[in-house]
Amino acid sequence: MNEVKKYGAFDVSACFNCGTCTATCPLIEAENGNEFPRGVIRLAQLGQKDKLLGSNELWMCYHCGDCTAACPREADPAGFMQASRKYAISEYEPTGLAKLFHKNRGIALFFMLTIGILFAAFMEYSNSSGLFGEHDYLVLGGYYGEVIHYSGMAMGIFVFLVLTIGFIRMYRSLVRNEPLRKREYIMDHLKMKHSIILAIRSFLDLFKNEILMQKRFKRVDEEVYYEEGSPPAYLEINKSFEPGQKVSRWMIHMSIFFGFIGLALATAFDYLIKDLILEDPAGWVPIYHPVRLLGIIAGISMLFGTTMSLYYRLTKPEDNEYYKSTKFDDWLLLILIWLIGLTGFFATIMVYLPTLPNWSGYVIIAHVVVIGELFLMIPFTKFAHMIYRPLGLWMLKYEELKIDFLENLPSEERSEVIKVIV
Amino acid sequence: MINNEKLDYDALIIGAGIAGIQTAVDLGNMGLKVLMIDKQSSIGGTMIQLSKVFPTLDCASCITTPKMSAAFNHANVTTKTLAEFSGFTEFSDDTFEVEIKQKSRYVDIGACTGCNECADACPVIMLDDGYDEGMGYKKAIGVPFATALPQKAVLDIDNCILCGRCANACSTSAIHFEMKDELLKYRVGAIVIATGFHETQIIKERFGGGRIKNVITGKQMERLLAPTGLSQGIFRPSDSKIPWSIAYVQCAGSRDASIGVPYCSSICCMFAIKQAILLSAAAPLADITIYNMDIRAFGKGYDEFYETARNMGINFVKGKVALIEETETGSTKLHVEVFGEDGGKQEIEHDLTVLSMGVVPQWDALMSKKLPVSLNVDRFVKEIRFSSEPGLTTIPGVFAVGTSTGPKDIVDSIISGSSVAGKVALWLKGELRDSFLVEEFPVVM
Repeated sequence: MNEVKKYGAFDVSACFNCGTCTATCPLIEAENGNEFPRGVIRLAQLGQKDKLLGSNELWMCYHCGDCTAACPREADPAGFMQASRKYAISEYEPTGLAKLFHKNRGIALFFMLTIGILFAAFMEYSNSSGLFGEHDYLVLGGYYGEVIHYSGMAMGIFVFLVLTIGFIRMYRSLVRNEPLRKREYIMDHLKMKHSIILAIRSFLDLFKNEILMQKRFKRVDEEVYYEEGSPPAYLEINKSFEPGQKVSRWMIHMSIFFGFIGLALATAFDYLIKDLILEDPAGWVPIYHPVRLLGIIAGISMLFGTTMSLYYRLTKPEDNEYYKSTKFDDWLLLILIWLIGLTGFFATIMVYLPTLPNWSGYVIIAHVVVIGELFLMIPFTKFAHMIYRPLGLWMLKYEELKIDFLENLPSEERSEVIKVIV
Repeated sequence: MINNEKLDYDALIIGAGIAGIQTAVDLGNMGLKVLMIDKQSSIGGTMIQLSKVFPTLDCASCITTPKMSAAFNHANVTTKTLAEFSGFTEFSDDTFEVEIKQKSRYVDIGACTGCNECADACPVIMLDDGYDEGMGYKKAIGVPFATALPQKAVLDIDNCILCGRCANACSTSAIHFEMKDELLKYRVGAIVIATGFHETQIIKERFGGGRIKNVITGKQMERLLAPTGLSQGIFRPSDSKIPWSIAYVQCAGSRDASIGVPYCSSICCMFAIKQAILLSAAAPLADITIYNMDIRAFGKGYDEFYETARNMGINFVKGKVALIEETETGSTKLHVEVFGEDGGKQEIEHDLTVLSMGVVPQWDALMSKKLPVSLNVDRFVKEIRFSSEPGLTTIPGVFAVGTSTGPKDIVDSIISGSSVAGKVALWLKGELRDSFLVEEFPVVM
């Protein structure tokens, strides 16, 4: 399938389906029936586009790169999984922008710069011309509040719509497709009541293990095979931080993830308290205000995560397949997040300076512009994994629980729970 | 016609394995004078180490030793062991002057009777990692092995403690510690490369990197199975237990670009099947499983041999082993994705694991400096007319036989030896010059 190749995959005809990748994968437990990456590569070899898009195996993979290190054909199964995810993201989202961006860096950069400049100019224009009426509240040296508010709303609706369509598309292709390996009971359909119970149970499990703790990710970090005498560079002690601290990929991801959650919460609280309760949007808060503290801590967490991530990518640990495989759009995303953290950090410092420097307005413009860009990019880049991966893992857990449920069910009760589809 | 009067020998054969021996015997029978050299202390090459041959299950020694003897005692064949090719000069009349480094044996070959009294006297006992592949022991002095030719003692000076007991024990005073290496020069009409192969020498890190005791190579298993082997039975190295389940890991040292051997070694399927069949007799209670991607049984009677093995109850599992771990009991745990109805990723324990290592040419970069024939991408010696006149290298007058040009089984090696003997005779009559000049087609290898 040449299509996936454009997203960075190797020529799938290099693969001779030996299954070394599957056998080394730390995520595949013996006999649990999954067979990625081999099975997924096989789908591409056979050109089974729908099956490829409908395999939640894509979203189980955390790209530890162990399969790539083991591959006897020196193909890149991990890179293939990465490219397939990007391909899937592009296929799920309805606008076709993701496809364009993935295939052409120039267009992507041009598009982003244009939007950024236009947005910045719009902010500046609306501010100086009073487009939104009186400058009724103040955000750090300028009067951008209303602009940010309304354009944020518009973007939010757009992004939400695109993501929802993508979510529905992915869900449809997941349920339409049989899993790679058929297991007993997997094709049975449960009656509504039971399936809802299982869906809730699997979602709770997903929320606890995968979203909050990201246990699967952690396991990948811990169990991946390393050749004797060469510990993974990113698990080595990082001397610039607390001695003995290991900044694993899981740690980095957790700090970025909770950074985002924290920032989102802080923004929401800020809006709630200032706009709705105090009705004083421009109100100044002291640095020890809980919401402000939450924002600062979350921001630092995010900045730490992205800095480490960028640092490891730049220093390129030789024995780490993951950091070696960073593509253009991965860089773009990381740098954007990092810029958000950095500008936000400066903006926060400036709020507590006795006098505002003249250029503080530009810092806030830059901050808002990069946030806007990132926000717009959510459905089109690998950032979209924030909805697709949980969905994939949710379906996976659901299937596991369903099989578990049906296996433990006495056979005479089975007809009561299974819906017969004619 | 090459002027025979100038020549010391008509042909030099580098390597005295089965292919080199066959070439030497055939040339000798044609009345040509042949010099055959081998860097080992005995002729016989790889085949003399083996137990049985596939698919007939004939005893390997029974095929090799008559041929070895025929070559060694041939009136027209001169054999030099512990001799290495070290350089050559090409003359305009299509002859070569070759330099041969004769390493000292520290034993006077004329005086030694092969009684092995010296070995009995020698106090140094060490692992035999040559002939016995680490599955037996040897002394610092002695006849290399029972069927060695020449049947003369050899002193391992690196491990000798110079105690002198062997010299005292020797009734013919054949041992000379002061012997020196010599450089011999001969004028020859043709050179035949018959350097053969060795197993892939690196065991992958994922297969334990050689640290797991109960992971052995195919050749080591061959020594366990061979009637000439020391063990006289199947045991696993860590605790000498008789293994109850034995795994064969196919493509462990070939078809793997990550260790630099991307090609198929072509013999591993068959020797694994052969060993499995022999193991069914040597260790009748053991379960034998062969993990393979596919079985390549291509020769005469090979597929029937494979069918026999299947009917004997040997398990053939489709799946490439990715990782081998050592368990607490010393057994090996194989991580493999098994294909088929009840497949999926599995972790399976076996008492003993045999790696079917690949075939890698012994003709290395160092030898290529001494004799600059072109090599294929896979580092085997390049044959310029591979499909029509095999055995011709890029230097006129230099031929290659056996596994030096690519993985071959024993039958093919012997065929290649005989066919090149004919080519050498033609060359010496001055009739092959044109073939050397025209490359057949760019061989995609």
